[in-house]
Amino acid sequence: MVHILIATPDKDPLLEFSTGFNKSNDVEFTWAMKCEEVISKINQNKFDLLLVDEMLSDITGIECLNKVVLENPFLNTAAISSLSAKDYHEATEGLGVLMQIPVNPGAEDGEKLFDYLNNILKMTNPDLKKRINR
Amino acid sequence: MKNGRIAVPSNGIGGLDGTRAGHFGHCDTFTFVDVEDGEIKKVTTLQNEGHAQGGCMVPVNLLAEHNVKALIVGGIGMRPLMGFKQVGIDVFYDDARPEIKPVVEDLIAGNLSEIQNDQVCGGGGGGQPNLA
Repeated sequence: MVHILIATPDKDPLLEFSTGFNKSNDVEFTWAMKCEEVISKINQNKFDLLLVDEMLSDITGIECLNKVVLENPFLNTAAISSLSAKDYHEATEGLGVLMQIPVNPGAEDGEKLFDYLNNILKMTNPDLKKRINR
Repeated sequence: MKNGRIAVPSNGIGGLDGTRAGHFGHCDTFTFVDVEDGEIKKVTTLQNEGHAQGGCMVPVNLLAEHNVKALIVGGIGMRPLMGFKQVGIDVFYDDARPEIKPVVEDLIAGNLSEIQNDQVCGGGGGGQPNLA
């Protein structure tokens, strides 16, 4: 089972994106609206990926990632962002974010992220190969 | 540091007479220096694994698996720094000297400081490596 935590104040625009993960039959989504909830959830459960929306109910997604990395640096993350590639790089440098996801992402963006996550999980923990059913 | 294994991100084939790589995650090789009672006992090298965007934890796991106790960097991001802290590897900082030997000797002599959060690359930290 791969556990994905998605932080967004409005999950409806991300439902299509989440279908990009459907190649695996073994994915579970958890949703949060605030960074405060994110911190609480990652301290209580193990997730393989955190995706943050550009703006959460309390702070920006990138501000949230700055908090998350102090709590759990082993958690893989991705960020929805409208920043230019250069500004995004500057804003996230050192945070080790897997991928910048465009605003209003589609299923193909979800699929691309899932494939990339899959590769990272294999690199960081070969045992996870068995957990990812592709 | 009187005992344990020191790792130094290195260019090319590494070794005690080699040069340091600026960004630890992108280095070619890690030079390992094993120290006993304040003396260098053994120097070995380990090829780095491929670095992918967001794959910061690969070298963290790699160095933890090889029993590294201390790492000397010229630049590092917040995520891998926190990762090293969690696996019990102390991270020391020198962004000025490109040679491996003098910084290792300084660490053994207790003359290197641990990196501070405001010295990391990005995220408002001022640390940017001057090394190659």
